[in-house]
Amino acid sequence: MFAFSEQAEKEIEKILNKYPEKHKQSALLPLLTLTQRQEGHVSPDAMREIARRLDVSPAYVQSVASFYTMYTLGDTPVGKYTILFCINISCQLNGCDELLDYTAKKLNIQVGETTADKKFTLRREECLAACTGGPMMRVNDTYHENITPARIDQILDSLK
Amino acid sequence: MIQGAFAGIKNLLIGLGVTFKNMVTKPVTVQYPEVKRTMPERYRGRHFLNRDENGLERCIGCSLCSINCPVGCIHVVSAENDPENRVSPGERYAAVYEINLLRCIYCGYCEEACPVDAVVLREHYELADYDRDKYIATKEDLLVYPKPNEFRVNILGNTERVNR
Amino acid sequence: MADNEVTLTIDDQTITVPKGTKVVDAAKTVGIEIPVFCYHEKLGSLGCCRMCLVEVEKMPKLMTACTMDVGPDMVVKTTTERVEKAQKGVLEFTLLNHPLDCPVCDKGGECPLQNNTFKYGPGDTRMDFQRANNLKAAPLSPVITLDRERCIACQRCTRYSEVIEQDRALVMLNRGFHNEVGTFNNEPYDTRFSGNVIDICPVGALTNTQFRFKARTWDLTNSDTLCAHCGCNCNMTLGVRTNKFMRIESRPNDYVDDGWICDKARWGYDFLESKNRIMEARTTLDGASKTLPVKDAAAQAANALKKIADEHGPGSIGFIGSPYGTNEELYLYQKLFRQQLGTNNIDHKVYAETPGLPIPHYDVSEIETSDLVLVIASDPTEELPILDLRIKKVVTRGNAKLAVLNDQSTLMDRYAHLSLRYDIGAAAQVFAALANTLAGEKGEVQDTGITGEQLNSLMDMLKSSKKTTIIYNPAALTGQSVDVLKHLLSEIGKISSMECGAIPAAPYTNAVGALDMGVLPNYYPGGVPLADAEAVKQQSGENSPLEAGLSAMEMIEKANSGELKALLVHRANPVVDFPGSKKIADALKKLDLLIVHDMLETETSQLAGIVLPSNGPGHDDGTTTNIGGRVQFRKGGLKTTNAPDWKIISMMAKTLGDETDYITSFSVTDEIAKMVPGYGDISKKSIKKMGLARTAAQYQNGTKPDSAKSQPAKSDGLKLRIASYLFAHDKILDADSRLAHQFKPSTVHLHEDDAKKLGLKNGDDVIVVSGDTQVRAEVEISGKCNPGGVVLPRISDEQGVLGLAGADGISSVEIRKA
Repeated sequence: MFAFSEQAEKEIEKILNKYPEKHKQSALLPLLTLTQRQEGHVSPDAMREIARRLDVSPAYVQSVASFYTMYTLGDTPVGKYTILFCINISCQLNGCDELLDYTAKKLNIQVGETTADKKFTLRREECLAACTGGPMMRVNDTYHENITPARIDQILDSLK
Repeated sequence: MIQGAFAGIKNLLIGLGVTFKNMVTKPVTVQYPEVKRTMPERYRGRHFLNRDENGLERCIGCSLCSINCPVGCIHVVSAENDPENRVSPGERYAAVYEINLLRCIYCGYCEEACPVDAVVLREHYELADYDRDKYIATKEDLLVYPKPNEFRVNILGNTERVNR
Repeated sequence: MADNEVTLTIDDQTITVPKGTKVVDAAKTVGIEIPVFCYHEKLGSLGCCRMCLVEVEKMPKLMTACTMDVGPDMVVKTTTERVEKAQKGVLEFTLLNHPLDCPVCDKGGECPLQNNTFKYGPGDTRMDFQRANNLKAAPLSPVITLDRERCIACQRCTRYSEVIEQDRALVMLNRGFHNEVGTFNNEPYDTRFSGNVIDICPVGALTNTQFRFKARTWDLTNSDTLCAHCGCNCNMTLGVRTNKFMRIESRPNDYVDDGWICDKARWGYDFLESKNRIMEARTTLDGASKTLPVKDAAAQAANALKKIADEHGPGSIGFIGSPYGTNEELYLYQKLFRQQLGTNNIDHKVYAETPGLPIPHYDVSEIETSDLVLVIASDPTEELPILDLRIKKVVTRGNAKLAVLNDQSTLMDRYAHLSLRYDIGAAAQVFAALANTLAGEKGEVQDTGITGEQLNSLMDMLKSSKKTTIIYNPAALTGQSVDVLKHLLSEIGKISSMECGAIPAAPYTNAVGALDMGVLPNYYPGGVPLADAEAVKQQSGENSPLEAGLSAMEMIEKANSGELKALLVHRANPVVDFPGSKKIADALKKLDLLIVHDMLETETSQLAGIVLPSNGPGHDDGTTTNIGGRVQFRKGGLKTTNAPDWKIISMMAKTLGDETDYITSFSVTDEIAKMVPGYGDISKKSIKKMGLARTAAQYQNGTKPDSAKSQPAKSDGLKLRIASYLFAHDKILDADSRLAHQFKPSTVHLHEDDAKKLGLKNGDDVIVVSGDTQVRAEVEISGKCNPGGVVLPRISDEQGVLGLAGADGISSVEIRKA
């Protein structure tokens, strides 16, 4: 069963206060984000709970959640660090594909997978809005721009 | 008068010329039923249902032949294929496929309408029978592509069909 | 030209339409077709398919006609080169990933995509890459098959779920490139109205599992008929091939159903081919059961009834009809019993409802123009699903307010602006209090579960409204409360600032028709009361019996005491459906003669001496009157060798000397038009397309009910409310039914306080006891009713809840742990 942590509950109260009672639905994305932060994934149970709180249907919650790549639907949590590579045009022209391959090989996983020690999850991402600094890589909430294999080594090592 | 006689003989010879010429040329007619004519490839005789290279029925039971039939002599009832035990490739097959050969006008529209080349009209033309019921060709009849009909003369001197 | 009208030009035709009309609809009024996929007039605009592009003068780009409101002096062109090019392009794009399996697709032949492609599409595609492959034929629910390859993501179905059903069970998942229709966590999409997505799907993506590959659409013989399951009488099309039932589709009629039908209408017709059908007449009068021709059986039945009537007097025979019969059947039966057999022991119901209303009888479509809908004791969601959609429509998308006055909570409460819940059994008191308050007297609401303030706010809502529709369920009102309610209605009718009308929403197909046809012990057809001897004689002849007859429950009582000797039961199953269940069976066994005229074998038909086969809906023609008083023609679709019901009744009447010849069911309808007040305009022609509202019967009982009598009886046990469910596991929806997934477990709803007192918790197995009847149920502690009451939905025939009810429907029960 899914339950929000105490801290999350406080957050939820704050979020819900922002919206009129009739438009609780607006709090859907913040609540999904809270869930993703807390659990590392958004399970059907969690979606049901969010739907109950916001007075929408669970299907609607899934419909919204399935659009955003930052929510991992399903029952498997992501690793401690989620590494996102932008593969859109600017980064692609600057060689993001090779860097992605390099990282995958270094972590010994395929793109989209999580390392066995549950530390890293590697994913492709469409534009992350940092075209000036491509190729770029995002680790959790931190942007790393103009990356090179050496920078990747450095960043990943610093995370260990 | 003599002139008239000559003219008569000339005309007679011209006429007989045709006769004699035809006596030595190969006849157009054949000694049916002892001799069978080979029909042209696109002759529209009796219908058959084709099978595909895997031995499955080609017919998908779409009823397009039936709706295209100007006399309404085709009856199709379709059903869903069991993937374990399929009758045709794809999802659907004809559970019942019947053609009323008496009502059929052999126009070939069914063949034209068929999206999977399942129903075809072949060179089989000897369709006479003694029983009207036998003219309802069922799927089982249509799926078998028989040898052209064989005939024999029975003791009464009548010609009868050996195979059906 | 009025202010709210706009004049524009479409393809050189000048038209005037109301403001706010979409260009698509405006074009339709003059016969110009603009192709659409995502637009549906009941769902509104979306503009995602781009099929309806048109050229509008002074607009630089092509516009979507389905999202654009008409504007004054707008010049729209729908056939220019630019438009045609755009249509070709859109179709080529739509068809990119659409499989070319039209020959095997069930939509083929009636597919908007197919039609539009033929009409507007390119002859060929320029793409030569592989189509996207996707899941084919996945079950979306036990009754709907989803072919993901064929989906063109028009979002009609998801919008239907959101706008019409309003539970958003069907949504677009993975929005973006991999957009697909789906449900939460791949759960089945099994709402009450799910089937309508099949009708609105413009491609073959959502298909009817029952109809899957059974026939091509052009092979079907479609008969325009009505649903026979509830009082809505929704219009539908019955598709038949080689005299076999194939499928049911909706047939929009805005006066009745607004274009939708519920799942029971779509998939509740398996009984047409049920093995439980009564196909032959049989008799057990001479010992062993033997079959005999229907004609002989009808004659035997009529003679036997006549013999008993002659021997013991006409009071010794009786007739129990059914609110499921057609007007013709009901009319002929009451005529047979009144004119040929001379008795008024005629009834069709076990609740106290009388013909006529003190205020106008509203058509269902009147709800749309109302600004207040007051639902009393009715649960449209469970009883009359299509009425539920209509109420939701006006409340959420119109300007209407919804007030609910009920003894159980219903799904309607979610949409209600005011929801009052009185104690079970206190209905009469509450209605009397409200009526008194409206009349300016003091309304007593003590011990009713609602407060004076609540009552006042309801009164304020009524008084501030301009047009009110009151929907009440007479079948849920026990004892005297219907009379009090009618008094309340007349008080509401006195509010001069508003117009109002009522819809008596009994959840039976032809409950209104049965009242109108005089299948009542004290009223002749058209609501003519027995007391008015002059009127009766004028209407039905000099020999019409005038002594008051017995009601259905009284007949059962008299059967038990031996005073009633013979009973004819038509299309009813008293053993299960009447309060008292087991006692009823005992009483019926005591009869000298029980004749059952029914469609399916029932517990009652098992007891019968003579059984006559009834063809019922799907086979027989006839008219029915829906809750809104609209008379419509219910056409049969399937052929049968058995005589239709009206003919069998006519055979009985002829045996007893009646000389009227009926050729078709319309011969009877014509006689009804002549004989029944209010039905004068009803004829084959006048009800052909949309049906015709009949004139409601005159309301007779104008006296103010005695409020002292309306006090609920004090008792120790918990008061029982039996909720009725349309999707119950009964004779119509048997165990093999496609709708078995809609069956609910036997559940007893308790209030928290009572549960605490009894020491019960959620999910406990209990036995609900009243007298010697016991019903097993699972406890659900919910706010479904006020303390002191229990709500027990009737979910199946075997459950036997009606055994718990007293003769007047009121009863107290005890709850024990199993």
